[in-house]
Amino acid sequence: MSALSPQLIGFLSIGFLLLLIALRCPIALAMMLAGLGGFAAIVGHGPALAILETAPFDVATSYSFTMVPLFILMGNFAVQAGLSADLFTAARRLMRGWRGGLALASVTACGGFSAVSGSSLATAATMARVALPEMRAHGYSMRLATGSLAAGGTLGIMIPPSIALLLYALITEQSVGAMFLAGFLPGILAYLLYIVTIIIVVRFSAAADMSLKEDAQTLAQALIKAIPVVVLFGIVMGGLYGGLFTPTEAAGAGAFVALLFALFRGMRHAGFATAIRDTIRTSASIFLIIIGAEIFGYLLSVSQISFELVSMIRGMGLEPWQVLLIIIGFFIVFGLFMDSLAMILLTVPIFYPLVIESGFDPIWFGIVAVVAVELGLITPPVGMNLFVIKSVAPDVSMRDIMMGCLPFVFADIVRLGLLVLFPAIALFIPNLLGAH
Amino acid sequence: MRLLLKVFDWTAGLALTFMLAVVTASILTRMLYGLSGGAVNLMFSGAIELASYSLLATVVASFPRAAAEGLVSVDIFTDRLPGWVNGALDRFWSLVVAAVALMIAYAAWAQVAISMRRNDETQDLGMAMYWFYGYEMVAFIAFGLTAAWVALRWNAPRRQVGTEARGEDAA
Repeated sequence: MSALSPQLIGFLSIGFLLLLIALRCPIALAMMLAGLGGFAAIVGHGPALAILETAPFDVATSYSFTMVPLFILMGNFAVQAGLSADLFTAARRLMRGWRGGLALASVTACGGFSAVSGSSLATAATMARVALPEMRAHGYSMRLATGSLAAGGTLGIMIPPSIALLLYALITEQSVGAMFLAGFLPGILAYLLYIVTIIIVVRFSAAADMSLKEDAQTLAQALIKAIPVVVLFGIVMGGLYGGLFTPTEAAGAGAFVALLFALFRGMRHAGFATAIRDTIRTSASIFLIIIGAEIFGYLLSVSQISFELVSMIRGMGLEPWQVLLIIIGFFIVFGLFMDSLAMILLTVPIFYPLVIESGFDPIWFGIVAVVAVELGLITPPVGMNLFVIKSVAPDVSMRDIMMGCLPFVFADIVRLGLLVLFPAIALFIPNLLGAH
Repeated sequence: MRLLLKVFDWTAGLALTFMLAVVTASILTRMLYGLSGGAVNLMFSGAIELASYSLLATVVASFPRAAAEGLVSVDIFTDRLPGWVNGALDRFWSLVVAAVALMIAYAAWAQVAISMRRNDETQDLGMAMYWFYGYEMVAFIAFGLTAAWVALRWNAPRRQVGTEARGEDAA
């Protein structure tokens, strides 16, 4: 037991956690060490060790969390089914005749792929492999090409089914269905803003005419090939809101139907093994951080720092909008340095009571938080999508990729502003369907 | 070590496939029951429990691979340090990961003993709980051994930055 107050130990533990992260400590381990250390200082070593008996087991046997690997598996089967290439072909055909048509098609295909993949990085990497060589062959500016793909990839974190929104819903005990519905319009808004951004960039760029004229397939042929994406999205979202499936069953049904598509399109044993292997590797990283966050959550609970934060803010007499701005600023700044899912798992439990106390809607706040964190995906120094695009286009300088993303960062800031000013953008569909 | 990783990769893969099969079977049998007006009842109890413990089998068996390939960390603040310092930090943290994993394995062993003594069983299917704690213990021992191997092997450990579906793998 310590002579320090639990609140002070809580704040010191957060400082210790950030120090460990800065010292290259794996994020999951940093959460475990800071959480266990702080908990032991408040409650004692025996109870702290008892957390190790329960926390990993509880997380790994939680039925709610079975959705995570199943949604990831759905995305990986969709890749094996070749849906990414078909989506790009359809989008390419749809955007034929527009200046910057391939960039527009890339973002459109990213939006489509986001509907079967819950991950920004998977979306960016998958679509970059398909679209980047073609944009290069058509003489596109690499800044525009890489920027549109890095930004397009971020649609994966917002358009349902999104792993980030799923985790937010689970840790704040909100309805997964309502959360997914709330992400739909902000996802569409992001897509439209990216399209406008590309149109503006192309209009003011000195590059040659970048419209696409030749195309072997008719629009109908191209769209028919992309139907499986609509089917998958329809099964997951329709099943979920039609009361046919629970969220876990929706993920399972999506993964199973994606498997059928992949098999129908000639996936062999090696493709199946690749999808399973990739799912396991991704899930391992996510679950280690969830276990770390669970252990850190014990410290947050006993130290009561969230409530201390609430009373501090109340004492300062800040208006709710000022509180919100501080939280968003925190998300944006820390999002620059930390991975998006780790950020959500770590910070939401701290800020959530403050958000509720300030009278904000929890579903809307989840969307705002994810959009703010998402900005970090395409901004240096730890913009993960930038690195993903760099790995696909090693000859393009990081500076060019960052410069290419800059107009899209402005688009995201505009979207964040719109979401803060008009919460209905997030809440309209959940309210309309009675899910909220 | 490669054999150990392979065994756990296979275990995790089979468990994930089993989880998908259980969830799918649960949906299909329920739909069949509904469509047949209750005439065809192939529904089985314990689907939620089976899915939950499949998740355990998948997740903890995937940790040794995660340790071998490098856990997620932020390297932006240490990037400018000499390579040997970063290498030393990575090795040090891998050793700490090994220690924590073995502590969790020890904690799981305590749960094995407790659940054996109390004859704890799962709620729906009545499966003995000590099997699951035992499985968790073995997986965390493998996790710890892999992390120690990463820390002490000749080649420098690797690090991942980013936790979302790792793009290069997903593609």
